Amino acid sequence: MKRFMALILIISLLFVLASLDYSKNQRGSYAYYTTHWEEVGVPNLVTAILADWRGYDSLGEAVLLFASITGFYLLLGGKKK
Amino acid sequence: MKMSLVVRTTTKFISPFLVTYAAYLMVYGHLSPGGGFQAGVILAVSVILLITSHGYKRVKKSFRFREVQTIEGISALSLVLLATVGVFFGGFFYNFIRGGSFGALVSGGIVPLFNIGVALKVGAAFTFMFYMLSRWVERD
Repeated sequence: MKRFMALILIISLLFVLASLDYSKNQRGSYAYYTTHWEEVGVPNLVTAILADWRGYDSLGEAVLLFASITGFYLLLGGKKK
Repeated sequence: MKMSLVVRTTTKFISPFLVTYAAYLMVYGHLSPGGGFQAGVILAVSVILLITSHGYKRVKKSFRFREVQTIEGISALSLVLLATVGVFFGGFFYNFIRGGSFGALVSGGIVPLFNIGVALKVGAAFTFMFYMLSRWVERD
């Protein structure tokens, strides 16, 4: 039963992913950034890329830092002195 | 573990300016060069300078271990919550706060909030790592 549910989930996700719009911009990513800059509404292009278009990337880095902190506490924390 | 008087006076003099600069970088991160990670690293450096010059035991009284941990956890949680609230408006990481003219301080929606969260998280995380290492070094 579990495997059947997983199969259904995978196939529905496959259809969702296949139906997305993958048409790429003609002149590459830089042209996309400069033409769609107004959508974000932020004058700093680097922040617009890092915090809006690539927000997943920034969130992943933050989670990575949190994981490293947890490892530090696990290895060196322990009892006080 | 203390360093000489000159170093202690200089670090005491410089640290408040570093905190001010970090606050500027994190609040104006969407307008001028800067952003979350840089601001967080500078925020952490202002505490690390004090630790290296004054020693861990002296700094521990002002910047408590438990408070650093709390700031770190709360900012990490707020980042995830900020991204998740967008689901109700259209998608993960959807920019649901519109308003403000292009180039104003209060504009850009969730981008400044995200910057502030990342800055607090990175600063608290690096301070926490340095606390951990210095506590381990001064253990015996």
